[in-house]
Amino acid sequence: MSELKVYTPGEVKEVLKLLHDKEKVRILAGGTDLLLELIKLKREGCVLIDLSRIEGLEYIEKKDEELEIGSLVTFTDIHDNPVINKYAPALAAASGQVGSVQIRNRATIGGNIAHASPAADSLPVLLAAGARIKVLNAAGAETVLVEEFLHNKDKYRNHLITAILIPVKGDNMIDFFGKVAYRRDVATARINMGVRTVYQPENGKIIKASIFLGALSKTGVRADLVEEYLTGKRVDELERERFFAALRETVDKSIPGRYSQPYKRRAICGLGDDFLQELQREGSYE
Amino acid sequence: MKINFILNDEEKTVDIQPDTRLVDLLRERFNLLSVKEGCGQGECGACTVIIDGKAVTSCLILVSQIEGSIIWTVEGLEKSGELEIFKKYFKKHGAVQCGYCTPGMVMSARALLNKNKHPDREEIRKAIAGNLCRCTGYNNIIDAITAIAEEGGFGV
Ligand code: FES
Ligand code: FES
Repeated sequence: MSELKVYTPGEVKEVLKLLHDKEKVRILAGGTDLLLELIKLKREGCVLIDLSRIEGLEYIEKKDEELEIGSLVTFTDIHDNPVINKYAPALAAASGQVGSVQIRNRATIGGNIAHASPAADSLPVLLAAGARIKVLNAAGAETVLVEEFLHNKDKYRNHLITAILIPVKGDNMIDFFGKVAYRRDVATARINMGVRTVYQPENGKIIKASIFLGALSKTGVRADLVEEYLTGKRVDELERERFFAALRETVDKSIPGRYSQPYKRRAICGLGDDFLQELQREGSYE
Repeated sequence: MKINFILNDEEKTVDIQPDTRLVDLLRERFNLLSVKEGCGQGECGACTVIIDGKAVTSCLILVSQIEGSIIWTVEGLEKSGELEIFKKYFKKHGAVQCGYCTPGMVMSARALLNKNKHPDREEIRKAIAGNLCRCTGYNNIIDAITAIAEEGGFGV
């Protein structure tokens, strides 16, 4: 089998040049997704750009109303970081559910977005929070919504993700991450859900809800019916059955006729239930 | 490609194909046969080693990624004398049957003790959740690690 060409640039500008000059290039960050395809990569004669010698992409900073996370930060570091736990708790929670300890110690947030496996646990929370990413290529820098990036992956193929920008969770917001899998630990999500809701502090009315479901299609699915149902209501006005019906309908619309549809339309209600309890704990007004 | 790293407290330089997996480097070049390959997919943890203080699966790492790293395997713990306590309690609690998972379990437990000197059972369970064992049912392993943590005495 032909061997892989592996480059180990020490600077970002060398990475950009390689991305520009080479064919069939793949970026190697933590490697926990990419190296699953090692045999295929070799067979196809791919070129790897190993980022392990790039410095300066492993920071976590709060800047005004946004958290900025370097793309090479691992899920262990995200899960353990107090600033992220405070300002993006759903991301911290989701990061703690990615794979095993060994995987979380290597897998990076940038890699998770770039690889964007349908069941990636960080994606629904990033989508729900309206996160953006900074990408670079030989032509320059750009900041793009994660949602837009995921829908235009071809356009960004020869770009390097350098940072993730997440609007911080305000006091009048409730964030949620939930996941259903076959096993308690170390399992690929069968379905997962990221939510950010904004409510009016005076009366507890939900004024905005962003809900994304993962593991349903190639990219996260916006649960627009559920968002519509929640918006404008106080938590104590929510009717479980109608809320669940909207969740089920979202699943039905996304994977009509798929063998997993009956399972997933039930599983989603379990997650919905957890989320409702969270809302009631955090957002109830007497 | 030339790669420099510290393996079990010794400086090493190898000249090797950069697309070699770490598990293959350790087993084939250094004859460190405690490092097992089970799945080759990051699922079973049999190939777990410690890099820069953290447990990682060596089947999902290329040697190009380890430049400058500090790597420990069970053979290193044997050399430093630390392995004794793992042997003692794994034996006492019946935590070894076929033994295929054991080196990986030991390295995951050792990495946990770097971070958390007094883990409870739940924390131990989480720390070894990426290590599959077909034989013991895990409880004996958790008992052994609990006893090891209680005896303590690990440096970082
Ligand atoms: S062989 Fe590496 S995790 Fe199974
Ligand atoms: S003792 Fe046999 S796999 Fe664990």
